[in-house]
Formats: sequence, structure tokens, C-alpha cells
Amino acid sequence: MGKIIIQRLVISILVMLAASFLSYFFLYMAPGDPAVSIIKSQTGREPTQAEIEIFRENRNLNIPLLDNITIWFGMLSKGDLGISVRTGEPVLHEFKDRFGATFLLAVISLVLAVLIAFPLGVLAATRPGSVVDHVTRVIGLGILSIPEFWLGLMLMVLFSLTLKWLPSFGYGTIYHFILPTVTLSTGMSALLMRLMRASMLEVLNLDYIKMARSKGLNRPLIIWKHAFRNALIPVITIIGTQFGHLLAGTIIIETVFSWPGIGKYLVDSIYARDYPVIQGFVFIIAAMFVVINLLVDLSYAYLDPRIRFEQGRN
Amino acid sequence: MTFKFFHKGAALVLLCLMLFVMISGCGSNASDPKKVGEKAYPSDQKEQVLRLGAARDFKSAAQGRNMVFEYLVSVDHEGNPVPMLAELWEIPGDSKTYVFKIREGVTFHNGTEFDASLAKFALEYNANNSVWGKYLDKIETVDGNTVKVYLKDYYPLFLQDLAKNLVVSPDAVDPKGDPSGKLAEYIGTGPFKLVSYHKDRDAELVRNDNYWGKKSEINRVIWKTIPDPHAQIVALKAGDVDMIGITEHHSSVPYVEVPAMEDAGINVDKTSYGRYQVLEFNTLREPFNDRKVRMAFNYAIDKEKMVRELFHGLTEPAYTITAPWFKYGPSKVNSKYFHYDLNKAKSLLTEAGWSMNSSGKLEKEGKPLEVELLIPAGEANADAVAIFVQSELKKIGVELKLLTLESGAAWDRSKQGEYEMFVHHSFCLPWVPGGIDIGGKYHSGSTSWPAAYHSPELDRLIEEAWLTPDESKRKELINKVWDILHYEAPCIPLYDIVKVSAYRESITGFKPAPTMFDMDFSEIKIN
Repeated sequence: MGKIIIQRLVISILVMLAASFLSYFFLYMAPGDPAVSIIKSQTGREPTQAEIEIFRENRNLNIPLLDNITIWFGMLSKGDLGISVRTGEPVLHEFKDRFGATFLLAVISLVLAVLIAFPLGVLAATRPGSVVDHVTRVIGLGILSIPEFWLGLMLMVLFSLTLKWLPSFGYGTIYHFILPTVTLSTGMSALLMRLMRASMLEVLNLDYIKMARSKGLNRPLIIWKHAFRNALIPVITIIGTQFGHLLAGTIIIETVFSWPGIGKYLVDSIYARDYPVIQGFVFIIAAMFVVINLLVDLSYAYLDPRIRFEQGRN
Repeated sequence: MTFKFFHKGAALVLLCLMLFVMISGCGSNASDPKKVGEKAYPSDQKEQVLRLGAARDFKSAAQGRNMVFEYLVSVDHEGNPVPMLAELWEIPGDSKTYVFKIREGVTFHNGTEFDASLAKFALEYNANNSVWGKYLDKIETVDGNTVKVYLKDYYPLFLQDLAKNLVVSPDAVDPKGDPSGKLAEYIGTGPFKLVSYHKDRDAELVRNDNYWGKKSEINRVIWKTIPDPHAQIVALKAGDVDMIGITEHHSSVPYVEVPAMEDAGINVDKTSYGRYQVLEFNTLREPFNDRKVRMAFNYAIDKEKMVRELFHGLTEPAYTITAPWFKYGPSKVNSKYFHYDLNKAKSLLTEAGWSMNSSGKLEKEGKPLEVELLIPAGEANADAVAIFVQSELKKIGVELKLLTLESGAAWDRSKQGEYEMFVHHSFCLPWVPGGIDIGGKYHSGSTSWPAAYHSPELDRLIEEAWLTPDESKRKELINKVWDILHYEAPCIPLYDIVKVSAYRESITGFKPAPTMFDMDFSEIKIN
């Protein structure tokens, strides 16, 4: 097991470096100039050549591509991700200042989605073709078709504007979490519910479940102890991917609810061609994906004893 | 088994508790209810608190900076330099020396008195980031209140440039007192002091009671970052903010939402800052290398109908290349130069050799008149405007294709002259509006617009205009430039992008600032 983890970690570091390098390289090759984009966003007009030259000189933007990459790797080895061209702040500070908000939103939304999706998915799978199954399916499909920004705005209109129960935007108290997390978890719970139902149905038709039934085990024990655990494996994979995406920032939710997370900041940096931010953020996001994937893989071993035994033999 | 379940249950409870604690403690404002929901403010009669809903983070918006910092010289609504922290100035002799008399009784927010030596520091700090810095010879303090700037060569836009240079305290930069340092703290002389700031969230400012000018009635300003314009409108209607739109230099409030806001009792101010949306032609390529075609396209678009149908008459159509009321604007040109006249458009196209084929499309030597309009993503109202223009041009047999590209990619095309028509907006103050400065859009030295209309005569007039210190001669030359440009029709001016500021009924005394980058709270009251 330890050997596998070490192997995975080595590959992971290479993946992180490659993701960061490629994102920088392609954006560097893409049309657009950070000096023009940033001055334009600050002044709302196209800059003169003299202004562009001064900006490029002051922000070290005249360094060639290869030198830039060498400098970046050198800084990375010292734990420094460089300075944002747009804000003049260290990239790591920009990330740290915003990641807390993104992390909380991601964790709470995911927990909420799981709490809704799992019981409903299992319920629908254990009663296939019943009213509950049909109702959850129709509602689930309906929710999946709703765009997040529209749902967010509608919730805002209902709970902030009409009922005046919740703040329409912002960050700070427990009330500020309600609308963004509900918006985010609604679609996710519908997806997980459908997955849970399909996976559970498949497991419930396997021979060992029939065996358990014929042995006379009680229904809740069969469902929750024997079937549910096995049905979780494909769902966990999706949860891992979803969580990774959530941690990388949720641009729509952050924009609609004025959430101070990393998503909107990263997208704005891409538009501004703020290369150090893009490189640094992609590196950290790649690291998060790698860690999540590793945890997902480890969870397989926990959920399925056969994987543990196989790994043990190897 | 029971013990295992107990463990799992305890872990779950612990996880929930941890999440609760994390959420409760996630904001530094959590313990102070006045700082978050802001609902507590309006009921507080003792102090006047203005809550602004802003599309951008406080420190990345010019309007935020301009509440804290001021300039030595500012500009009025037309672009004339006006005194600010420099009470007056003289330009003796060679027009390369400027003598500024510094206003007395001005103090920075940290209590330091503003004098000539600090003005010198502020000028040195800005010289590193401004075009005028390239012309700078030296800066001298003459006495406690007089500072003298020597330029190596005559630079006509020096005073206009100063109107975008923040006067910062030496304590505000890092390293302290270093003119080449970076701005680290918000220590200015402006009407408000910054007391708290959270990235992408909010900022709180209190009135500067030692302010040299007219003090605002507002005690505190809360800047709330709300990037989505629709969310801003909901927040305004819900009473979570008092004012939106004022914090942006462009119009962040969608024009289509204005009638509904007015119906809901929201006050809406529409101020023109002379920023026009225009369709630029590539004059190096067919068919726009022909002046008659460019004029025909100008005559073919009914702009009055456009502003009426797309924007409910919220703004005015534009008939000149830039606002005629600017200091260097086309005031001598007929104010409705590019008017709507379909017959004129058709006859000009016929003169240019284009004839209508059997399927109702214009063609020349068997080639149909098809052009592409490049739209940078995010350009205000551009999608709706493009479709309107497309339908108008169809009436004269022109097929307009629309291409939207990410802003950076679109501007790259402009730099390479890889477009046929390009939608964008014109300059506004404190920059020189209209793109007629040296290296500007209509000067052949322009690197951003190599395919805009250029000519040696135009270059000569522009250069002569900007290099003469004689103001009346400059005006005369610039009028000639405008005459040529309007004759040559290098673009289609569409409409005035008015800045929309919306505020709740409880706000009175709203006054638009001279430029779209500033905010004026000197008369505002909250009832």
C-alpha cells in the first residue's frame, strides 16, 4: 500500500507541474496581452503604446517565455508562486485570502447534496417503479435541467427580495451560506441521487444479495450494510470529481452571490492574462485534484475488501 | 456493533459541530451585525451610512481609490484642467516648466500636513508610472508651498495626465518614502478614510473630518462587491444596498432593466460622459477603403430607432465621432453629421459601383457585399446593437456577419488589422477623447489601430496641434482634424453610453461627478 502511495505521489507531482506549465504555455501562445487587458479593465479604454511600454517594463512582462518558465520553477522550489501582474500581490496570498470561502462553500454544499441524494437514491432503488421512484426521477431530471445562475437568482428574488428572510449577497454569517449552498447542492444532489439509484439497483440484483435474502437477513441490514457499501464505489468517484471542481471555484455561484472565492478571481485573471496567477492557481488546483483522486482510490480499498486483499497480495 | 455505530454517530456530530464553528467564525464581521447584513444601518438615525453595491472589488476600482486619494490637478466635465491639491499653476516662458502652488490646510489621513515636499514625492512616485515621466527633467521645491516641474520637452498632456495621478503619502508606499515603491496603504487626502477592507467582499470608509473641501453629510460609506448586475438590482430593491452603478466607469446597470427599476420606485440617474459606442471600419480593405461605402453605412442606420427600441430612449443617438462638448471635441461639425438617410445610402453605394442583384443583395463584379463585424465579448450592449445593425444593413442589400471573440483575442485582431468592422467605445476624460492624439487611433503611429483611417495630412495636423503650446491655434487645428475625419467617415458613431446610477428613494442630493471615474458625495443625504 505504501509503495502505491509513493508511486502515486511521484506521478502526482509531475501531473501538477505539467498542468501548470501547459496552462501557462497555451495562454502565452494565445492572442492577448496582459498590459492591454489590465490597463483596459482599469481605465475602460485601449491604452496608448507608451502606456503599454511603461506597464510592461514595471511588471517585468518583457521577459522571454523560456526565461520566465525557468524563473518560475526556481521560485516554486522556494515555495514562491510569484506576484500577480494585476494586483501586485503575491499569488499565494491571493489564493489564501480566497480559498477559505471556496472550501467552506464546497464542503457544505457537498455534505448537503450527499445528505439529500443518498437516502432518496436508495429509497428509489429499493422501490423501483413505485410512486416515490417516479417522483424523485421527474424532480431529479427537472432540477438537472435548471441552470445554476437562474436558480440562484430565483432563490434570491424569493428569499431576499420578496420574503426578506435572507441576505441577497455577501459573506460573513451563517445566513449568507444558505442561498449559495442550496443553489449549488440542488443540482449536485439530483445527479448523485440518480447515480445512487442506478448503482444501488445494479447491486441489489447481484447474487450475493439474493443469497442474503434467501438466508433470511432483514431488509435494512441487506440494504445498508451489504448493498449500500458496494453501491457507493462508482458514486464516490463522481463525488471526488465534483468536490475537485467545487474546490477549483464556482464562478457562477461566486458571481451571483458575490462570494469571495477563487473561481471568479481565476477567471478574471485568465481574461487579464495574469500569467503568474494562472500558473500558481492551476498548480494548486492540480494538487487538490491529485489529493482527492488519491483519497478516492484509498476509499475503494476501504469499501471493497477484495481491493485490499489484491493489493496485499501484490 | 453498538460501539462502532456510537463512534460513527459521534464523528458525524463532531463534523457538523466543526462545520458550524467554521461557518460562524468564517467572517471577521460575524460578531458585529452592523457590518454584515447592513439592514441595521438605515434605522440608525445618528449617522448617515451609504451602502454602495459595486461590480468590482474596492481596490481594483478607480472610483474606490478616488474616495481616498486626490490629484494635484483635476479636470471638469469638458476636460479643462481645474485646481485640486494644486491651488493654481503657472506655465512661464518655454511651456516646459510648470509651477504649482500647493493648497494650504490639507492633511493626509495619517495627520501629516501636505506641502511642497510631499507634492514633490507624489510627483516622483507618479512619474515612474506615467507617460509624462518620460519627459521629466527634474522636480524642485521652491518654498513650503511651491513646487516646480521641469520637462525636457514640451508635453501637451501633462496637466491631463496629472488628473489621473494619485497624490499618495510617502507612508503609503512600500518601502516607505521610496518613489519607486508600490502602493501598500491607502493614505491620501480625500474626503473619506479607508478603515477596513476585505478582498472581493467589502470596504468601509469613514468621513475625513479634516477634509479641506466641502465635507460630506455621509459619515460612513460601505462598499459591497456584487459582481453580477442582476444581483445588484435585487440587492438594491431588497434594501441591502442604497446605490448601484456609481462605482463603475462604464454602465454596469443593464439599460433594459431601467424602466422596471423606475416603476419600482428606484431613482435612476443617466449621465453622459461623452463616451460613444462606435463601429470602426478597416479602411485598408475593400469595401471600406472607399469613402462612399463608409458614408453609405453611416446613412443606413436609424440610430434614433435603435436607442428607442433597444434602450427605451434611455440614451441619445450619436451623430459625431465623439461628443462635441469636449474641450477638444468636434464642436464646429454639424451636430447631426451622420444622420439617417436610406436613399442617400443607396445612391452612394450605386456611385461606388455596387448594384442590387435579383435576390436583393448588393454586388460588384459578381461579388456580394458581405462584411464581418467583430465583437469583443463583454462590450456593453454590443450583441443587441450588432443584431440591430445587421437588420438595418440588410435593408440596403448588405449581409453583415457577426463574430464574437474573447476580448483579448479581439483586440489582438485590431492590432493586426484583421477585421472589417469592429465594435468598441470611444475615449473619455481625463484622457483625450476621440483618438486624435499623437499615436492615437487616427494617427498613423497608432499600434492599436493600424487599419483605422490615416493620412499624411491628418498626421501633420494632429502633430502640429499637439506640439503647439498656443491653445487657440491648437483648437483651430483640431477643428480641421475633425472636419477631415467627418468627411472621411472612419467609423459609425452609434449612441452615447450614458452612465446609469440607481439609488433608493431615501437618497437625496445626488450629483454626478465630472468624470465617470469619480464619485461626488458632497451633497448626498440619507433620509
